[in-house]
Amino acid sequence: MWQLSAPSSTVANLDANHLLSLSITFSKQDVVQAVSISRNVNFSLDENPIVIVGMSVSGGVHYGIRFTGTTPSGATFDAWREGSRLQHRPGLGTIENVTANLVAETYLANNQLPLPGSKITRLWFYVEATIGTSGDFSLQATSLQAFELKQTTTSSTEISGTFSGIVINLGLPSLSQSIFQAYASYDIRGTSDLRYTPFLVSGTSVLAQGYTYTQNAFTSHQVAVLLPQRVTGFPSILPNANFSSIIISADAGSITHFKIEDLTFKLTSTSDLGTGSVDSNTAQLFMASYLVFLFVTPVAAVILFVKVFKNEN
Amino acid sequence: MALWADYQRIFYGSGILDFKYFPTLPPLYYAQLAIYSFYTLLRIGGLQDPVLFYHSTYAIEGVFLKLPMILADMGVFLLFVRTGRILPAVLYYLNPFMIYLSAAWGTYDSLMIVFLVAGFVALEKGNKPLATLAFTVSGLVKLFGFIPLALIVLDNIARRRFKDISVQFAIVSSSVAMTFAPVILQGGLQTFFSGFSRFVGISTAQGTGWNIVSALQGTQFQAVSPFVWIAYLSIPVFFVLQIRKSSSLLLSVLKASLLGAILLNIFSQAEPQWLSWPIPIALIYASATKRTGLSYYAYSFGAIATFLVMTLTQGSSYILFGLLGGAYLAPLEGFVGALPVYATTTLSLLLLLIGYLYGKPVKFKLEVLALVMIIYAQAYFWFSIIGIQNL
Repeated sequence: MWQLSAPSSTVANLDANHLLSLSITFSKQDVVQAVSISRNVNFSLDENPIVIVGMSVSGGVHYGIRFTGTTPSGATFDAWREGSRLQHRPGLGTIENVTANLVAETYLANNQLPLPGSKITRLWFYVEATIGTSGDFSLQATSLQAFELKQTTTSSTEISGTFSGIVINLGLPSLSQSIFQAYASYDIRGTSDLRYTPFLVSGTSVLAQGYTYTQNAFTSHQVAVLLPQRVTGFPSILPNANFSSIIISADAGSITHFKIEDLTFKLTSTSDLGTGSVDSNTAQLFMASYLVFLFVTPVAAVILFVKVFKNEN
Repeated sequence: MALWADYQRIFYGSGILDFKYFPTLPPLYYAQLAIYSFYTLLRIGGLQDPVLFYHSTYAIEGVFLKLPMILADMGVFLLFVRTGRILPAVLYYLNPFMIYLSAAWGTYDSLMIVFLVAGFVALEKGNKPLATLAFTVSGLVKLFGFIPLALIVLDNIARRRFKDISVQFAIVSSSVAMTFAPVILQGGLQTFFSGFSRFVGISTAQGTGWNIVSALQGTQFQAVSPFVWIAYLSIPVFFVLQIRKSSSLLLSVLKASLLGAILLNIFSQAEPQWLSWPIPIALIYASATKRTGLSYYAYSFGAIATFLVMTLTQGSSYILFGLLGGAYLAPLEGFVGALPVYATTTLSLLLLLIGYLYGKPVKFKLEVLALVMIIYAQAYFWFSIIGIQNL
C-alpha cells in the first residue's frame, strides 16, 4: 500500500493500479517543496541486491529513490545517502532505468557491509521543486525489479555479454603511494544508451575518477584519464575491500563487449596540491610582491614607455 | 607543472621516453626535454634545489620547465621589434596575462603564439612557404595555429594556385610526419585522437566548461559546446567575405583568425589560457591598420583577463603556494557563482574586442575599464549575491 506525503500547498493524485502514477501540482512558493510516496517491500540483500526501477519524471523538477531495511535482529538501517546518484536526479520527461546496488548503497550510508540476512523493507520516491517552481508535474514508476548479482570472472583481457559494470582486479594490495593520474586504454561497446564512468579504487576508497562517457560513433576505442581531483562519486559495484581495481561502472545502459588494452599509473614523487597552510604574514608578503610584479610594474612600464616615446605632433 | 616535471624526471631519471600518454601535442615535450637537460646537468653538478611551499616542482626546476614559454615570449618581442612594431612588442611582452601564463602558471600557449606571429610576419613579407612552415609548427603546438594556414590554403584553392598548394601540402605533411613519428612508434596516436576529438567536438567525455554557454546553462557538454560549429563555420565564411572586399591576404587572414580566436573562446569549451590567443593577433592587426585604440585595448584585455583568471579560475593560492582552496584575495576569489561571473565578464571583454575590430578606429579611453568593472559588479550581484542561476 502506497503512502503519500505532501505539503498543504501541493495537490497530489496517486493512481497505483498496476503501475504507479503520481500527478503533482506545485504552487509558487518561497521554499523548496517536495512530495514523497512510500511503501513496504521485501528484498533480500543476500539474494537480490540489484534493483532496477523504470521511471519517468517530468522535466523541471528533481526526484530521488530511497531505501531502508532491517537486520535479522530487527534493527533498521538506511540504504541511501545524500550525494548518491540516486538522489536529486533531474526529471528528463522520458523513461529511465535506474539501477542501484543496494549492498553498495548500504555500505556507503553506514560505512559497513549489511549483516547477512538483512532485508530492504521500505521504498521511497520523492519529487522536489526548487523555490519559485510551479505547475503540473508527474512521476511514473513503470517497473520495479530486484535481481541477484551475477558475476562472470575471466582471465582473458576481453569479455562479451551484458554487464552493468566491469571490475579489473589489479592483483595488487591496497595502493599506498599518492596517485597522480591513471590512464586506461580499452575497447568498449554497449547498448545505445550506455553511459559509464571509470574509477580507480583501492579497497573501498576511490583514488581517481574519470569523465562520464557515452558511446563514440567514430571508434569503440577509448583512452580514459582518471584523476584524483575528479573524485565525486562511487561506482555502482562495491569493490573488494582487499584489492585495488579499475571499475568501469555503467550509469545507464549495459556494456556488451569490453577489452582492456593497457593501464598506466603515474604516482607523485613530490606533494601535489597538498593540504597545508602558509604563515599569514609570509602569505601577505608574497601576495603583495606577486601583485606588484604582475600588475603594477608592467602597467607602469607601459605607461612610462608610451609617455617617453610620445610623438611630438 | 607536476605533469611537466613528471615526464622530465621519468626521462632523465629512468630513460623512459613516454610519448604515448604525454597529454599535449609533442613539440612541448621536445622543447622541455631540450631545456630540462641543462637543469639535469646542474643537478648532477651538485645543485641543491629547494622545495617552495607546497609546489609540486622544485623552485629552480619550475623555472626550467617554464623556460620554453618564457623564451617564446621573448621571441614574440624580438619578432615585433625586428618588424618595427615597437609599441606592440612592449604591449605584448609587458602584458600581465602573458607574464602570468608563461612565468607564473606555466601554460604553453606562448609556444604556439611565437610561431603564429612568425607566420604572420612571413606572410607580410610575401614568403608563403615560410609562413606555411611557421603556422604548421604553431598548429602542432596547439591546433589553433592551423586556422590561418587553412585560410591561406582556402585562398590558394579559390585562386587555383595548385603549385602553391602542392608546396604547402609537402611542408605540412613532412612537418606532421616528423613531429609525430616518435609518437606513432610508441603507439600514442589513440591518445592524440582523444585530445583531437575533444578540440573538434566529437569526444563523448562530459565535462564542465569555462565558457559563457556552459556556465550559464550549468550544463555538462560532451567536451565542447554544441555551438562550437558556429565558430568553425563562421571563420571560413567570414574570410571569404573579407577577402572579396580587401585585396590584402594578410589583413583578411589576420581578421578572420582574430574572429576565430574570439568565437572559439565564446562557443567552445575554452580553457582560461585561450584568452591569450586574440592578444598578439589584435596587436599585429592594430599595427597594420594603425588602430592604436585596439592595441591599448588588447593590453587592457590581457590585464583584466589576468585578474579574472587568477581570482576566479586558478586561485592565487595555487599559483603562489601550490595549494588549492586558499582564498588569500578574498572576497575576490572563492565566492559562490564565480564561474558565471568569470564567463559573463570574459564575454563582455570579447564582445568589446569585436567592437574595436569592426567599429571605426577609435582612441582608447580608460572608461572602457570602468565599463568592464560595472559588468563584473553586475555579474557578481546577480550570480553571487542573488544566485539567479540556482533559481
